Amino acid sequence: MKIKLLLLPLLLLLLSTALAQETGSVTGNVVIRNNRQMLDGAKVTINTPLPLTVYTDRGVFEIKDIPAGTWDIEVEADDFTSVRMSVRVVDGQVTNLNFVTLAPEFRGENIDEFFLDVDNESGDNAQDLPVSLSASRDVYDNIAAYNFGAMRFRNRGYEGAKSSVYFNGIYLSDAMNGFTPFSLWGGLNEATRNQEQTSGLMYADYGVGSINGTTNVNATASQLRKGWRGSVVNASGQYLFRGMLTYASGENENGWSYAFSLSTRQGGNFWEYATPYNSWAYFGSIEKRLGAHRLALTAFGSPTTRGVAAAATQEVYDLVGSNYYNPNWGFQGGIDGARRNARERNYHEPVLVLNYSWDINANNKLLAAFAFRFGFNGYSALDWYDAPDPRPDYYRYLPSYYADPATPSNADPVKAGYLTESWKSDWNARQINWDRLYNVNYNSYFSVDDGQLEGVSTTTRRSKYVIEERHADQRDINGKLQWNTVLNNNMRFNVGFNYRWNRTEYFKIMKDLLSGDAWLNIDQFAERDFGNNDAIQNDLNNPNRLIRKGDKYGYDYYGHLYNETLWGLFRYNYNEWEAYAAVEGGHTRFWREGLYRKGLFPNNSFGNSEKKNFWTYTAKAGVSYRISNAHRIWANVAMMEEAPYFQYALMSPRSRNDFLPGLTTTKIMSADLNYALSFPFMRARITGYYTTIKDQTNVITFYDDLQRSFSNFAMRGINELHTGTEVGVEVPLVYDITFKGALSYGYYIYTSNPYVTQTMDNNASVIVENEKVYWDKFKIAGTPQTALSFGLDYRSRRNLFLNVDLSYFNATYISMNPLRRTDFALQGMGDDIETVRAMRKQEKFDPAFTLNASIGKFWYLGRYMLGFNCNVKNILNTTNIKTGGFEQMRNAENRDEGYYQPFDSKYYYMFGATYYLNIYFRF
Amino acid sequence: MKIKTTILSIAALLLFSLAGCQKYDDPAPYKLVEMNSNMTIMEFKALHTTGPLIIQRDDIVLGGKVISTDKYGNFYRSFYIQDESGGIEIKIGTTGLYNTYNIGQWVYIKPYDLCLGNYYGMLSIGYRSLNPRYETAYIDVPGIINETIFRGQQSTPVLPVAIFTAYDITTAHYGTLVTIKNAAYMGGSYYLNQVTVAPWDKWAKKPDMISEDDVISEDMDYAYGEQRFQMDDGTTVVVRTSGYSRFADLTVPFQIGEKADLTGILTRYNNVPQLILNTDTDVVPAL
Repeated sequence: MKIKLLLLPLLLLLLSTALAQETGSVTGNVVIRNNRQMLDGAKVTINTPLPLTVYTDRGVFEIKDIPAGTWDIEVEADDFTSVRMSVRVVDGQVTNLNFVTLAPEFRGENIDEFFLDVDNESGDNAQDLPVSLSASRDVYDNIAAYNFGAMRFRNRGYEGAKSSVYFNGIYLSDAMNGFTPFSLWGGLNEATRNQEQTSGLMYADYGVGSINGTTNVNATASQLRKGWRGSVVNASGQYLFRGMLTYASGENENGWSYAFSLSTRQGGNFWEYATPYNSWAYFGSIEKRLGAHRLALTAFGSPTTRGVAAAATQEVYDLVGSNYYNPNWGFQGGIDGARRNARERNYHEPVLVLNYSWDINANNKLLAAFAFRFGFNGYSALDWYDAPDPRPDYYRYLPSYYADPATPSNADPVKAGYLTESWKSDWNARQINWDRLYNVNYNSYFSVDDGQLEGVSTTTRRSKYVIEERHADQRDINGKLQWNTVLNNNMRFNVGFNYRWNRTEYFKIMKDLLSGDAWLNIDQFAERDFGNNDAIQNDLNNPNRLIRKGDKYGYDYYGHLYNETLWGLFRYNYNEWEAYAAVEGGHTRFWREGLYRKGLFPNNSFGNSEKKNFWTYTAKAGVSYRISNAHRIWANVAMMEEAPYFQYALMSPRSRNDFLPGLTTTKIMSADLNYALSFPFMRARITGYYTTIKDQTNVITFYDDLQRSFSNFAMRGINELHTGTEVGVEVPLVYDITFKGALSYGYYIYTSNPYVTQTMDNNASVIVENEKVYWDKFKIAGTPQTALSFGLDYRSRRNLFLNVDLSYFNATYISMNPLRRTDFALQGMGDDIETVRAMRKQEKFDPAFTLNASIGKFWYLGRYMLGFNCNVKNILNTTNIKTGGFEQMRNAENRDEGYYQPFDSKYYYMFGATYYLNIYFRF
Repeated sequence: MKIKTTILSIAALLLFSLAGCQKYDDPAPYKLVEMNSNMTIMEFKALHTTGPLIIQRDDIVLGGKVISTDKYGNFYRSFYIQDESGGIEIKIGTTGLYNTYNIGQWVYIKPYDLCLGNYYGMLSIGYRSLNPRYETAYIDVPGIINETIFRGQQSTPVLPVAIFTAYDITTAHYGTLVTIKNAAYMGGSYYLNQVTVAPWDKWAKKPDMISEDDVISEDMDYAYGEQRFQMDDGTTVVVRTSGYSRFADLTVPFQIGEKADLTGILTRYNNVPQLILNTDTDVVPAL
């Protein structure tokens, strides 16, 4: 209500500025350079303060009601190099541009979303890698997206939450953890092809953004290029096959347009065993234009199941003789049986988006949007009760356990030898032995002393090994209202209000009892410690509940979140100067609502937790100066306070309502300075940036197999520094050959010693409390801090494209276990400097080179177009490039000597050579 | 019209994808072995003289029924088998044994390359130990277990032998299932951090539960409990129970002097007879 009152006078004010405008028109024809054919469906945008866009119809376009003045006009079409020109619009006149000629260009297709399954031990869901998924026009951004992705490169070292992702202008990044939401439209590459991007600190037209760029997918029916498009992919990197068919009607005389797309991706990759991929995707959009009003409804989803591989220690990779060993699978039914993966992601989260826009007049535009995300998101894992650990790479099943100086009483080279031999020769030792798990279940019955359970007899099979599916099922509503206005030819103003409501239910279900009849919903860790009483109940409200297939068990709670933001964006340009200021104020409120009353926390687990409120803001400003047509210099600065994410706000969210002590907003300060030059013989951009991020929290949850329980490291006060430089260069050489290069040279470190508190899900004891973690000056992990790529592009006049490039990566560091950098971890070790250094040392991975190449060609056959492109990555087939890794979170306690000993780290490796062949047609 | 077609095809696609879930067939149950033992457990034990004995004969087959269970946490990483001559501990080294070796199930041992060793009067089969404190180590490694320990048919559980006095106990009884009859409860203790705590009326010492701030917590101290029972001839049998056993926290259901029948595995520590319970319900008031 209040907001309405606020907006109304503002609107009136803006409307009054829009009176008595002088306007003219522009017309022209768009043709293909090679054959002078008229190009249908090319996008023509005139960058008036409120940009106007039309599409060519049989090559012809006309834009009316353009404010008088001199404007940039841009003509774009898929697979063509876009053209920019300046045009003068005179009041009451039609400016005819005659022929605009477009040259074919090889633009690779949108990159598939790339999954970063970081969790291995923890219960967290995997996250999509926050790379930008579509090619940008900026040389640096383009190369970074295509060539750095395989190395898990994160732009400027930021987490995914620092990029803002919008769909049809509405913010869709994950409410609970900030992850980029690309997997929501995974497989819909064609339908989501039309994307607008900004990089770094830059704002977007539909929001203020954060510090790592914005992406907006324009996928209302009228935004898709008219016609049919189909493609077939055969590849080896993620999936074997993809088929995709897309149609867009274009806008008919009555103002209707519609579009749909269907796609499937099938089969696993060539490098890891048992990573099946079964993904489908659908997209539909219908849009109606009624005068100046547009209404569009878009729906899409990507139902997917796919097997996930996990990282392992180098010992295991060496035993097996492959850096792509995957511990998550095993044979079922003997070695002639099926390959079964215990860890499968299984999700289908449909999204509905409703868009409304109203071009009130040439200077004012109203936008409204609404999005609803629902469905499910599950991730399976083995669960077991009172039976040996079924995971093949459990540390006690490895030869090193019998050679480990941490446990000298176990040391036995003969046993180590036996294990080495079985790792090398026995699939049942090397992988999950499903047959054994089933046989244990065949042999397991409820007994009389299992309590007087209803529906149970001594012939009821009690499963000891099962597959659980952990869910984070979202109900996410986003609403938005935005007003764009032009105050005069020099000043533009956008204002918007966003509203978000999210309720995510976190729980697990019994996915497969592996032939048993039931499971009991109790906490087995508590059972060992507390015997048989209320404390062992997972849910005191439903004690001793029998779990059958499909039932919820273990834990069940809601995360509730409300978020409102009001933002404004003001742009001013005068001669060669451009400046902007953007502000956003917001409020976030979240809390946990327990749906189980946990036996160990009877009064602190069921019902609502304390409600946390955070007031947030973003303030950005930037200025740009065009020294000449060839030189431009610009700078941005941003100050922000962001709310923490719900997923990193609770100490042990599975079991209780406790928030991290001292939970507060994250403070961000960032600035960049950019210089671009544009000569016929060279185009380049150079950027320097400096960012500090303060007061972050993090909760790392992992399975502690020493305690046989989930354990949590809750960290607070994490400060970071991200600084570095980005360079992109493009130099045309001879014979249509162009040199392209990009460099990201970063320096990303922690700048504080945060505090860690370790708790167990299944025990109220605090294991480590507010222990200082000596992280100051340690490196930020998970991305190469140096990435360099350069190569040659060739484009012939016969629509043939070739590319070859070489990439170099360095300064990639391992993700650290906080406990190893505490005084606690040094207990009993003495404090001589060498010991401390050895314990705290952060591993740096070896630098790496990769060579990639691609080729593409297409043909026009009348109104049809047929083409292919094929790329091969890591041609040298290097199989020892570490892309990431983490120190295991648990620490072995050396009982003999009374000190702690870290477990071996686990690593991810870049795949050897992979190819991707895409054949496509259009008409 | 086209829209209708579109919607229909989307629906068809969805149905198809839902049907795409992979199903797995239940694997065949493991085959249980049929073997014949060619040496009794007592004959085998007699091979031991002094110090650990690594078995070099590859023709020996022992057979016995399982008499212990780790289901209640009082046995850990080992189990006992018994034949008509006697019983012995198998230090197999793996956990969750009751899922694989049920009470009453026949188990056969081919002890070639395993080790027969002594611990304060009790013989066990394990792996040769590199730790001088023990004559046997846990076998641990699946590759060795698969070559030496074989699961046979399920059969009826062994019945315990009744013991009334120390005179009833022969060497052959150690490592077998017995019922100590008519023994009077004498009280107990536990030993933790170099301190003996007595009297102690629970089977063992579990971590103490602390309830504060609406949550239930615990310290981390576990200890073996020792409960003494006196047979009619005045000989004391110590019932020794692990702090990790499920029933560790339960109170011994007898007053001092009350008489009980206790069923468990008879062992000894030097010359003191000890009894290890499978579970607390194996102790009942004497008739």
